[in-house]
Amino acid sequence: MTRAFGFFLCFVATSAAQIGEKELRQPLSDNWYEYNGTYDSRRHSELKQVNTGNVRSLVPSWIFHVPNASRLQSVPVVANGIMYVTQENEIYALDARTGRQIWDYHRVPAYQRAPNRGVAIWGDKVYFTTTDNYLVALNAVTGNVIWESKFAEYKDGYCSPAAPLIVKGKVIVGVAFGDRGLNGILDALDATTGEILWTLHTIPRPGEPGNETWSGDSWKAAGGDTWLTGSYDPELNLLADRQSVPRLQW
Amino acid sequence: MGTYRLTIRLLCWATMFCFAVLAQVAKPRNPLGNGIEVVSQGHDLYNKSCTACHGRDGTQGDRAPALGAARRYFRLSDAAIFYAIKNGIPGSAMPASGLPDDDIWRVVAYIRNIRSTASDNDVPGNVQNGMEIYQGKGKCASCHMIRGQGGLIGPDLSSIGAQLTLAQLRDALTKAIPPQEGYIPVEVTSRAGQVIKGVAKNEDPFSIDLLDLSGKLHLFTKEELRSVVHQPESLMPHNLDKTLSPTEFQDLIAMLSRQARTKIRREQQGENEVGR
Repeated sequence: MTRAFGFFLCFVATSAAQIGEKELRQPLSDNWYEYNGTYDSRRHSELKQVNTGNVRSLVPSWIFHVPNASRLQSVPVVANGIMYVTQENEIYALDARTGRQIWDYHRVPAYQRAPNRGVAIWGDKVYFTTTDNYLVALNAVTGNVIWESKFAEYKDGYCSPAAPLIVKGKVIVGVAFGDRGLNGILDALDATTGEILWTLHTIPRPGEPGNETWSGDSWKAAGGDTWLTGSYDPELNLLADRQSVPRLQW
Repeated sequence: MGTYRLTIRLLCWATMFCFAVLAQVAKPRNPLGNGIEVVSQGHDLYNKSCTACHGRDGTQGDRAPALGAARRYFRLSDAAIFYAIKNGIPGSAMPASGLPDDDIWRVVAYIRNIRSTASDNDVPGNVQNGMEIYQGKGKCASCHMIRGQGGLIGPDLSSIGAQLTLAQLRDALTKAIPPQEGYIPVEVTSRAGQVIKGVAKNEDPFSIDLLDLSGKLHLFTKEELRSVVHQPESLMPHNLDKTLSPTEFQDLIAMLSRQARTKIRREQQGENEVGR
């Protein structure tokens, strides 16, 4: 029996339910595919099961205790019945019906502390950023690490708390750095390979449009963290990203 | 004469200062080496000095974790373990040991010894050929993944050289070993009569998560199923020493022993840098 099992196994290609452009654009149903729910960031579910008539009688269906949780800022992302919950350098994939853990990922060693706000999902992978600024792509079903790609230097003071945003096969990631005298970046990485495709400097560097509005060297440590997940308009092909107020550091 | 003495004294101070700075800057590897005698001395020291909290011989103690069992380690290099013993671990119950440095190095050698895995050996064989066997004749990649390439039904092997000892690695390819949790072969039949084969990623009395042979995950409650039949034997073939030639088998072992993400992290922590 086992031999027949093994034989069968060698000739079957792997496939899993894929998350694509269509899923990310459709209104929310029983999935929550991205940090803000939908590209337009309405964060509104159209499910009708919970309503003003029964909200008072809600009871917990299940509870999952995130181990050693200290500051949970993660938005649970749900796709194909799996719920992905994160905290810094950790992902927990849960059976959304029972709350039971399917797999977990821990990044060791975890350099520096910072919150994490969740995963993005595309194709058969989930993506999340670490406190040392790696974008990690994992198989959504098993948690196998497919690749990891570094986009900023933690030793300079950068971390990456925002959930990534998927736009047309690109993973958009940002950075945060508290009150350190640094400048923000917004990066797009190839969702298949992890290659950095472009970088936007939120405070324009010399030669970039707008730099002339900064006197002298004041642009060098002006802030502009990209610390939250943006929104995307597929009709206009326009990415709207929020960033912290530029401020001079001293 | 007085000037001469002062110069000598200043030189001595300068030399000591340099050594002190170097000791802080350099990330050392074990200056005593990892020979049998050093490991044996470290073993004795460990069982005398560390077992108030950690268990004897690297096992778990009442107040502190096992240092030699199969688990995630946070301190991987000689240097990282040395500093933890010497200085303690801030924010934990681990105190500074107070042992002389050479004794600490002996304990480090012992801890590294009980954690020794296949990747700590320089296994002979053609690694490139081993990878070709892995992907081709050995059919390993149809079920296992290395650095994002390969199948999902078996365990990821990207760091297998740092997880198993050399003997365990050979056994995994040549002996029938019961399937580990998360990889137990199972065949379920739904109420509608549909039969699905795969491995149970999770199971309890009320539900089962089944990864089928095509890589799709099914989340079943038991009441949705007519039957759940477990296979006692792992899907892993255990005759690779017979289906491969001795050279091919050795090349495969050599390649697998070098799959060690942990080793990369050890190097990030200062492994193999010279100094003391």
